[in-house]
Amino acid sequence: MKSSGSHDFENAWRQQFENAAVEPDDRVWAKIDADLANRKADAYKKRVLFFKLMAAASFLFALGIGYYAFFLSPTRMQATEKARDIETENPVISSGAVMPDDSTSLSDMQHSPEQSGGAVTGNQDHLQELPASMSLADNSENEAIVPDNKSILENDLKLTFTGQERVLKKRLPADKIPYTPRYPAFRSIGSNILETASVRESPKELWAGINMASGLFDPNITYGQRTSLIGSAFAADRDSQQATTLSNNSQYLKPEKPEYNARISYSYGINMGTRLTDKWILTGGVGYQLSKSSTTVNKYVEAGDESARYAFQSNGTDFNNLDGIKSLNLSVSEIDYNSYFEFLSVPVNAGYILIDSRFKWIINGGISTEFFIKNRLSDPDNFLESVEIYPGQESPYNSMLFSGVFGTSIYLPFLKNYQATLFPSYRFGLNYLTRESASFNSKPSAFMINAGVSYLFK
Amino acid sequence: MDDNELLAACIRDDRVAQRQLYEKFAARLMAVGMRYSRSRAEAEDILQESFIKIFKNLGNLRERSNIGAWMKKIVINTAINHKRGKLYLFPMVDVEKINKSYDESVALSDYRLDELFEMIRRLPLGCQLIFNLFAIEGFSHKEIAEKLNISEGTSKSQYSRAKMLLQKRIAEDRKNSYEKLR
Repeated sequence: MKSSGSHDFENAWRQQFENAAVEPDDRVWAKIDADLANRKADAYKKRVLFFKLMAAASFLFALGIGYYAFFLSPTRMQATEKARDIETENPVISSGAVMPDDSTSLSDMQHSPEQSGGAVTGNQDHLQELPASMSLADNSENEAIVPDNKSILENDLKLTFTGQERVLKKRLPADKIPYTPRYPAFRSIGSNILETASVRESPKELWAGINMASGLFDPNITYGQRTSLIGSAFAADRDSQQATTLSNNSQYLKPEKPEYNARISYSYGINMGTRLTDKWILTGGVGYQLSKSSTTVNKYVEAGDESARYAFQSNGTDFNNLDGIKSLNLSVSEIDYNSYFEFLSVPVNAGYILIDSRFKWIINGGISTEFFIKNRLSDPDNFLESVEIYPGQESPYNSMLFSGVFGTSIYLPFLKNYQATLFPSYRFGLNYLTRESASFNSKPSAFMINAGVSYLFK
Repeated sequence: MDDNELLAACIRDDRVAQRQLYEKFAARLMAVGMRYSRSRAEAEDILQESFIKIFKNLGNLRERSNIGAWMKKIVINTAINHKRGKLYLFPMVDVEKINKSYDESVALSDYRLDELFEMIRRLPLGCQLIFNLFAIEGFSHKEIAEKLNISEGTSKSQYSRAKMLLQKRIAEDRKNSYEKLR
């Protein structure tokens, strides 16, 4: 700090305020008290929200892993295809007339052949080679009955059941057969042959592609109590380095509420999706989005060293005391002024398949996380100064906006592994894009039609 | 409860202690807020926001003996942040052409505190801010320039304008009083 020196003027003022005290209103403490209490509650809510998000993420992760393991794992798919071969070669298996069903254990057949009228026979030498890990020693009812996988695979297995004898001739490679702990040998061979042979071909789709969208964007700007003077988003709350201001002369300037008109916006990005079940799909992606809206301003000021022209709106008439303004132009007819918002979007949507034939018709819903990149305000004729507002501590905008998304999509396959997508959707802000401290509020919405092409990994 | 115990209790989020700390400093800090604001309501907003920050950051305070200065600094920064969004500062008066015809010495003792506040509030926003920082807090123009991210010249010219407006106002008041007496 500078030394006070002999500046009479400054010293006189400093002395006057040295021990100055002004009693605040009692309501101030009440507000502080409430704020402190709210903060505690908010911290608790944040913790709860965190755990909820963690739980949701874990659930989705488990769902993904489960889906992969159950439908998409190479072992499973190969086993399914082998089973289909078996079905072709041994139609009797698929008929289900011979083989025991899942609920029938080998022990039932072996222990009471008279009752069941059946018996299991195989290469009895191999029964002695059952590895400890796969033995049924811990399973008394299956004791010493089941041959190991290898013995079954390397030899035809004769099964006699309800008086009929059938032979499994197909041999599966041992490493292709999953191990099921409870009834290891029997279930390994049995379930893979019998279950998979009877499994209906389920959709196994994963796709990735590019998409472009265009539509209408509306920032939905409204004004709160703190609306001060300039009345529009352009100036009042901008970064101090870029903003023009008429200082705090709100008593002279009664702001108008400018109408923002939705204008064409577009986005492009990459996306991917997967089919979770017969009826459900999950899609996601990343995209860049440029959203435009426009308004008109009826006045501008010239300010700064270079007399840059800045737009503002007002229906005020008394412009005395406007500080720092070199020139105030009131006679301008309406000037178009555009506002461009740039976002990085990360949407996640779930879709329910309504029609699944030569094309798919799906209804979609989800959430898009929009990372605010920039807001540029400009006059198409370059008469007024362009202004850019970025996220940051001083920005009136939050750095993130969550939007709800719903719409409908059509997937049309073409060529061998491609599909075209059309996805009209409506997006609406779930939170304000603007901060609480801003003098205006914005909760954007957009109607977009998204078109894309994706490659299908079947 | 001595100051250390009071602060320790505040850090523990003891609302009674926090109330005591508030009562001890609120009036002085309110006066600081009044200098930077355009209205009493705004000053109360600044005070409220400042105390939230104070309670939040009290645990980080190293030198507890300087708590008064530390709290005042928080109020000043909060007030600056309040203004920042509305503020665009550029040199308004050429420093070389500043009218220096007014008397450097001023007699403020005849004014009540609320009149002084009113005088400062009538200054343009940028002038008010820089006048407070320079004349009353004692920051140099270089420090103000860094704080507000403006040039030193801007700070000087804004201050000169503030000083000129205040001197003009005081001179007018003197003239009016003289005419009344006559």
